[in-house]
Amino acid sequence: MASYDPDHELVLRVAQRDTYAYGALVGKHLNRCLKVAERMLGNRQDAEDVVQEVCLKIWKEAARWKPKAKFSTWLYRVLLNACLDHKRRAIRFETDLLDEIADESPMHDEKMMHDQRSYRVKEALQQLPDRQRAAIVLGYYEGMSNQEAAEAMDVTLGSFQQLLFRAKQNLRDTLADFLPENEDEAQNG
Amino acid sequence: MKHKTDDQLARLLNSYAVADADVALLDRIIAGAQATQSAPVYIPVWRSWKMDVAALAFVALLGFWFGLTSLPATSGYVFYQANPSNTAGFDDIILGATTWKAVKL
Repeated sequence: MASYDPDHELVLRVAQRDTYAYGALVGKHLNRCLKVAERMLGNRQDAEDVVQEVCLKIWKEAARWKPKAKFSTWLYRVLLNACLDHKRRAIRFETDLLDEIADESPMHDEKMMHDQRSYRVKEALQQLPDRQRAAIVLGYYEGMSNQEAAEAMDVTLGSFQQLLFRAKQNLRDTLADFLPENEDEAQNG
Repeated sequence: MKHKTDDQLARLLNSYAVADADVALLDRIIAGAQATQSAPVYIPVWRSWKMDVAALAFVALLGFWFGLTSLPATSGYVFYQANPSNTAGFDDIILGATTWKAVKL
């Protein structure tokens, strides 16, 4: 093991079927896992299903876990794979609610404007290829270092940086409406 | 300029916030794990090729032993016991018929 893993002791106890340790381990990572899953899948319910599935996997396979990498790295790798599997399996029937709202009337309300931005970002994120989305979610939203995120995605550092670069470029193109070149000038003026 | 657009993108991405996990989800996850605790666990027995080889050897030995012990019941052995001097008839049983006459019989 390259560095100290704070979860190592907990995982060993989980392997011995210690439910308190399991609760502590899951509780520690649940929030981040759920947020990663929700941003990867674009859906809260699916995210909860996937996180539950992954947590059950931790419980079942803790005894076989070998500390080659940090537990959290392994966890995010399993989670990302589970998200991608789920996404491939899922058949979606989503309606573009925002377009209907946007067509009805211009929005003056600040909260609605924020909701619209949030929705557009969510949609833009979902339009990204899976690996680019994962790069943004881990590298940007979860604030992981490039090295950590690359390990979690099981790619080289160079590949991760490339994925992140492309993802940002795609997001800039998709969200061009919200990224005017003279945004700051407009705000100052 | 690049730095500036990165900041703008970061601000925009920040607008997509997701809610924290609720306690009920953690409870469900722990309950799910406890439910599996009482379920039978699959224990892998065949862990290596050595176990496979040992199993094959055991089956072969068992077959050999069964063949030896069941020998008295075979017709060739019974015939030989009854007619120890009739080697031709014994050969017929073991090797099969060598003449058309023997076939007809």
